[in-house]
Amino acid sequence: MNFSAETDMHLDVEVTVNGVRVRRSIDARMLLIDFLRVELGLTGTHNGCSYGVCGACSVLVDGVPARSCLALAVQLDGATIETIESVSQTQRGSEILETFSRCRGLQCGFCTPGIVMSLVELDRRSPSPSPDEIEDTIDGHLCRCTGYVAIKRAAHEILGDVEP
Amino acid sequence: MRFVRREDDRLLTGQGRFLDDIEGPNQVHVRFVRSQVAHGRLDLVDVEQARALRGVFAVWTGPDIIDQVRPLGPSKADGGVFEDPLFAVLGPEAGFIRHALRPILAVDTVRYVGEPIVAIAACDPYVAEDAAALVDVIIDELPALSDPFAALADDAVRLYDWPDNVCLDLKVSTGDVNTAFAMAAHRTRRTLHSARLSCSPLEGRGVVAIPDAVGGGITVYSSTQIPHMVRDAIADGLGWPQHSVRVVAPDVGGGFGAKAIPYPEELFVPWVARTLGRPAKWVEDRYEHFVSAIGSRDQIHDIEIALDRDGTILGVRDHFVSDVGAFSPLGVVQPYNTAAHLAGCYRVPNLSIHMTSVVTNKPPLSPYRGAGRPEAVFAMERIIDIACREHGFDPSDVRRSNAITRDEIPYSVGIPYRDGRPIVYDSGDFAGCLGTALDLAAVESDPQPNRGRPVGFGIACYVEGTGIGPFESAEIDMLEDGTVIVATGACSQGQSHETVFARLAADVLGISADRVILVGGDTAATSFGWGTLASRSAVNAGSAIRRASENIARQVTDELCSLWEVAPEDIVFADNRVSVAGTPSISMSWVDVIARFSPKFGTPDATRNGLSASAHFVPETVTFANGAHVAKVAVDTETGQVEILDYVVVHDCGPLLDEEVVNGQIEGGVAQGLGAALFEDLAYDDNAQPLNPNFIDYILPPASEMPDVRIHHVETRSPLNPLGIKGVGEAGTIPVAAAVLNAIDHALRDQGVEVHRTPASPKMITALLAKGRQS
Repeated sequence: MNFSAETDMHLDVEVTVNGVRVRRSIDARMLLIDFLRVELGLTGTHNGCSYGVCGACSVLVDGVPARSCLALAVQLDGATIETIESVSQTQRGSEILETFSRCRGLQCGFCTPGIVMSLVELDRRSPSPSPDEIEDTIDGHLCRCTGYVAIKRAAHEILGDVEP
Repeated sequence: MRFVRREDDRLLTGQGRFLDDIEGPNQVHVRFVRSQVAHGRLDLVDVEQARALRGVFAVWTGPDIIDQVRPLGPSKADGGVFEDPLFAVLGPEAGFIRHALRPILAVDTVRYVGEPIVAIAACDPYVAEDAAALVDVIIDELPALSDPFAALADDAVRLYDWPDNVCLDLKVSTGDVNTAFAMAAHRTRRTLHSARLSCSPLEGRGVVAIPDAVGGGITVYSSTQIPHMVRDAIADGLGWPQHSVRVVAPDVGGGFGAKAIPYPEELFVPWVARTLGRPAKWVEDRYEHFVSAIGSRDQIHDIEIALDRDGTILGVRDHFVSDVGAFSPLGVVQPYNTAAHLAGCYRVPNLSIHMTSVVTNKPPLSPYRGAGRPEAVFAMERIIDIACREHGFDPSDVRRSNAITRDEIPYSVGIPYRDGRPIVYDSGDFAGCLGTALDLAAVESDPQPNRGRPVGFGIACYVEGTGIGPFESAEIDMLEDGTVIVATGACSQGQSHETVFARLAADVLGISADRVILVGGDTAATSFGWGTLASRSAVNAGSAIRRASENIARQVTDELCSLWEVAPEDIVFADNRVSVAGTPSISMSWVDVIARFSPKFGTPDATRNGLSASAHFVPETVTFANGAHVAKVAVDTETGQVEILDYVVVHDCGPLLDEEVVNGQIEGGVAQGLGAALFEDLAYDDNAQPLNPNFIDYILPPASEMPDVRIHHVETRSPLNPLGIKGVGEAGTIPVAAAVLNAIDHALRDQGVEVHRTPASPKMITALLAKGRQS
């Protein structure tokens, strides 16, 4: 894919993605999700609606959940971005993924990366979140397979308000 | 990291391969310009500016391609396979079906908002979208139909060169309904409406076609439930030999029926790749999913039930109309499934059903999870409740006394199934399931309010013909390093096939499941395949895999019995070895076993063809799952909001292959049923313009609306397949709208409210309450 060949609006952007600093000259209108998926080959972030409702494209920007389908990549110059591909790199991240699997929190797996990123952030921010906080977090995401039952179970186990 | 499912290794780490993750070198991106008018004649299609845009490779209109890409006929899953046996059994006087051809790009007429008119191939999706904006389309509007009854009017505009807008009209009956109604003590008749829905898998459709580097063929990746049918549609539509087209379903982000027919885009994108000599890709966006992927339900029943003095069901007659939109690719499936499941788990000795499918200017309709059954259950279970209230019966009692008991199985309904075979409930204890559900839910006839809100219980029972044929395939190949390759035509969209199906083969062969690689949905891996839909894969693919595995075991047994001079029953498959029972010293590793079957120097033996087996499971007919759901709801009479206080599912799909997977299917199904019950309504205005084709206005159920689901399994074996199982993919969805709306009605029993239509939105409930107060 060559987003920049046909327009003349190139801009430089430098970001740290999953701990790696990258610099690219890109089309000004390239969305963050395409920057991650196409420029960097990080296809674990998924596009479910492209207008910020479904949450499948959620990544962390400077530690805060963001819809990568709603941001232009060039807006994020200097930012630190984390995607699903980074989660297994830490001990805690691996525990989160294992719990998600054990609780059968995913079926087709398309919405999963976004939900995992939101839970990673909640886990960091709130040592013992309330059930409402957990539900609010999952409410930012659509899942069509699980009926959320197993996702909620996984979230409660991950975030420590039930014994595994 | 240790993950529970095989799929999770990649899906949880961002390494899944969904359609949009697949790239061909120097691929072009296809964008469709779609009609913004529901019905009209194409007057002008000006693509010159789009063609001139930098980065655009080609632009095509309908007339440009009509000679090369044939319009799509009815899907293989309908045209002939089910239609012919069904019509053969029902006889020509039962009715008719008409099929419209579906052009890939509209040629002179557009028939729904979303119909493709122009296609653009460009260097990237952004440029393709720029080019689409430069296309000028002028359409002479014709009157548009968005209401099936308006479409039935004598003076209604015709969508096709037919005498009317009816594409299916069919009658089926058993017993003597007129006499039953004449003799009945009580009769109740209502109009009951299941709204139009969108399947909305979170991953939309998409196609990537990559010409093969050698050999002149093409590999087509499609986000589909039916790769073999897509292959056949491409080969037929483009006039290419089947061997030159390989279709692969990669990781698929949900389907639910939306990906269970071949689509125009699936023919067109391979044609673009071949024409331009480079890979071509199209990825559906969410708006396109709403306006061009199939919708479903949209069925309106005029149903009447006759009860005896004691509440015994004497008969049911029903005329229902399905609004199928502009095309009905699986024309017989949704209406006939509704008919076949209408009697459900009750004795209905006299049954008369009239189905009418009507074309309108909405997008095509095809089955969504449940496929005609939620519509049937909604009509039947609502009319039972309404009749009970009208004539002073207790809905639990009436259901208990009419439900078929274990002793009555096998039970003949008296009409044929969609495959032409008589409907015979082969297994189950319907009355038992119902009783268990009523007990678990602690159903009360006059429950106390919850925080000031009236509370009600709603019950809905269902049967589901699962595991429909014609067949599913399995091919097993043992590699020299001991790897077992199991290939099947049934692909996964999240159903955990790689975990569950691998285990089926591993269990027969005594091999640990991690040595088994499951390949689903690759036409290069199995010549034949049907696909994953209709709650059929575990039954059909599972049984085929079981049989192929047993074939492997038999070959090995024959070989080692003569080598070891033991009887077949002494051969044991366990612990990744083949051994002699009671004599562990006589044992062989799988690598050594496979080596004995490998062709090599010194064994000029034609039987040394490697160790492999294939099997196709061809079911006699469907096998019936059944169950009962009970919803307990509280209704806020100020706001009309409904809260699900408790939800009980009792389900019988036979022996559970994997309880967690089954629970996941049920929970996900219940959520989709809840969406239909309370939120989802794909609405069109009088000009057939879609009113809510997006995730903001079309409300899918979020986590906070989903209750805990209490699931109880009943396991009665099916006699119709070697695993004894029945399908479970759709069951969770089927009775939910009926149970929830029954519960709402029950909660509002003192308020003069009767709910006749899904979804029971706050707006509808408050309107009904206002009406109830007036009367």
